Amino acid sequence: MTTAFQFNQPPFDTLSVQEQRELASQLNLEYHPAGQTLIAANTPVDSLYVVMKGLVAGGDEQDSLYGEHELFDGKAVLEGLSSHPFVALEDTLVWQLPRAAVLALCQRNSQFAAFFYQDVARRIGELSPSPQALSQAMQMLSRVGEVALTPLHTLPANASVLEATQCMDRHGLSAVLLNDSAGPRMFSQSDLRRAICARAIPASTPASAYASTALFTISPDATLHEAMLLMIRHSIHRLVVSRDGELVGILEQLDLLSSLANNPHSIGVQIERANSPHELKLAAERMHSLIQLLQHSGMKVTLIAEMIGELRQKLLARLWQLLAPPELTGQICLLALGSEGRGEQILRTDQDNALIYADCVDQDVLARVAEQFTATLITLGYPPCPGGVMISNPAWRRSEAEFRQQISAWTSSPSGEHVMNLAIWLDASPIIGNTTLLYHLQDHLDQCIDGNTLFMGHFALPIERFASSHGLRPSWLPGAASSQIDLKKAAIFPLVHGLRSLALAARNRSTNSYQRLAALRGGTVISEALGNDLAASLSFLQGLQLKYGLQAQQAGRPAEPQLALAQLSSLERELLKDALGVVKQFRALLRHHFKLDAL
Amino acid sequence: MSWLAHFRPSGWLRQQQRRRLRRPEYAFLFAPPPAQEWVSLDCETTSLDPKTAEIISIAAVRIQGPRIALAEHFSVLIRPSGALDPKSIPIHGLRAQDVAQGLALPDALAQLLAFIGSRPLVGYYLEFDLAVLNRQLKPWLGINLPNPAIEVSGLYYDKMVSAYNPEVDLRLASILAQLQLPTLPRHDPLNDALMAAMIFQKLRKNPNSN
Repeated sequence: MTTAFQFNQPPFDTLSVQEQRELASQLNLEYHPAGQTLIAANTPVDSLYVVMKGLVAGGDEQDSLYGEHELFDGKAVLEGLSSHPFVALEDTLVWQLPRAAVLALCQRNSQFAAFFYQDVARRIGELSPSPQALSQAMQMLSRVGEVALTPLHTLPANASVLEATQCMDRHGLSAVLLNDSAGPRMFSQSDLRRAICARAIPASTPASAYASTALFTISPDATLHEAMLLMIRHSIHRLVVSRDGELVGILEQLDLLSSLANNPHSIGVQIERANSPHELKLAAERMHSLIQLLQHSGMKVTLIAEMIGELRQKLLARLWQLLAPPELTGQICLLALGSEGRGEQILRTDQDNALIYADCVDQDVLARVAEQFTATLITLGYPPCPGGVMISNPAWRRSEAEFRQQISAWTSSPSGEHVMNLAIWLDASPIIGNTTLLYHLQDHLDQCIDGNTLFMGHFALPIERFASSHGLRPSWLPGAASSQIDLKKAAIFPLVHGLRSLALAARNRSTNSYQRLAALRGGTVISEALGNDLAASLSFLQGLQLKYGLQAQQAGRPAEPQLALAQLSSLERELLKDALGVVKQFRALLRHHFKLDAL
Repeated sequence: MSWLAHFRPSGWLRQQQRRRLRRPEYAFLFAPPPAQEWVSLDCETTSLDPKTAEIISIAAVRIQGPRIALAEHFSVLIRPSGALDPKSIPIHGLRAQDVAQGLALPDALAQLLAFIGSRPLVGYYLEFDLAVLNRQLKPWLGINLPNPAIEVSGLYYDKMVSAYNPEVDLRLASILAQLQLPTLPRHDPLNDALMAAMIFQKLRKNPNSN
């Protein structure tokens, strides 16, 4: 028989053919007209339902919706009881699976069972695609064009060995191209070695006498695997990358290997050695390829964020050094703020930085450097901050004394803009300069809020800003608003700001959400279990943000705040529901903890 | 169009049928039916002429309240007495070697009667299926099936027809689309029975709905 049951939907896609057949033989269909209760509250549950067509509401507040291919209710089936009802919102057809069959499958198939875990952290951990084992293989299938290529340098055909060698030396290359009339030829370090061994010491010897005749080219669309094979086959160390006959760069064996090894080290070195904003730009572009590669390989988003955060702070520091007179650096402290300061920003976004200076600094020089710093960052691909949180803005470039006053003002009337500015400030992490300037201000902030009993509630209040009573609406429901979610506002912000508030209340000065969480968990507010759920949810949400942000970038679109639910896989939708459940739980806890209802 | 009405033999007709029943072991066909239960039925045949068509497969599924009891469905292949019409093979997808594994017709019919019992029957273009079944049953049982028959396209017609809309499209695909029901692959008798069951569930007066 040809069942219409979709075994390619999770969790049923984890079943073996035999298990699918067993399950198919136990399937029933049920029809429930709109308004009918499928599962009444506090009644025994003997079935797992999968929606074939229609829409069902469940959950404590009847705000969890279940549409096509979605199942309900894992928890009720495990416990054999549902605490809340499930009601058909539309005329609904559901597949009915006997509870006993589901439990039997859970015992035999651990992957299938993982779907029903009650522990959100464990569920997200087990179910999120983490193709670590596949990562090397996946990378071998990455495209040549995604690797940071070495730029091409072409010399006239009659260039001498000396000129070729000088060119390589100047640009840190291992090969140059000679523009021969019969086509380009390559002169590499190995050719230089041969020239020297042949005692062709007179530097005027034409390089072409030693240059290789055969030029091996590869398309940017070829896989790294193909590139590797070509190098092995011809015992060569570099390939010329050619797009439709135009030579676009050189793929060095080293580039290939370091991109295979996910090697951010070489980018770090490139940043430190950069001698001009242009060279920093090249490194910044390689960082972008690295992010794609890492995301592609399934590396955990928190690890990617740590690595990229490190590189980006290096980049900001190096840019400062390139622009500012050395003696200035000891008198300032350059800060990364917001998500950049928390080390949770992976994709390039708006600039978010500030600068504290010692009172004796020459204002004019500083202003000029700050202007240049902001302008250069724009050319490096960091758009200006729409809110003006940049050191070119005098409001975020202040002396220690001015910031001190500012912090007093923010804390004494904590509302609206003041709270948001303070929130940005709290994530400040020092990039370069004299960090004691920052530490003094942090001490000052603690003093300001020590006696201010009303402050914490007002500071935490924004977590309520984007709270909505709606759960996750199924993607096919009509109405644009219902089929999209703003991950940042609806989920990430409440988690991040909640942790920020709790960390501030505990006088913890970590700026990273996970570090804040690590310091708080197991304490009086956040239990170990909730701590696990929060960490798993936040990293799942940030992972989604990265994945779909990258997709948007690759398609040449700006990363939209709104994520269309239709583009999520049904597993991602399922886990997103879990994560939103954790957000809701955390929000309720904060509301109680900071007595927000009393404000 | 007589098949548009629900066909329920009246009292005296049932009495008469019961007297004519040749095999007492099938008296259960006249028992009171279980509450809120029906059977949706479909046959695949060798042709579309009810006077000559041979049954090659039968599928049926019970409807119990909101449930369509797919797990305990009835589905048999039947060995035909003669050769299959080559023209019909592409339609039902059953070749001579497929149906050769099937049951003899009397065995299949005995199992079907046990499955349906006295439950009312539901189907799409059920008149044809019943005509073919009764042609085989009557010489053996002495009577046609006494079960009430409910034609789902009839239910649909009653719902849709109006002075403004005298022509109702009764094709199965149109009915399913209009009722927003899923379409399953056709000419698999179980799927056909399932689709008829879904239409019935959607159109019948539901005592539980609120």
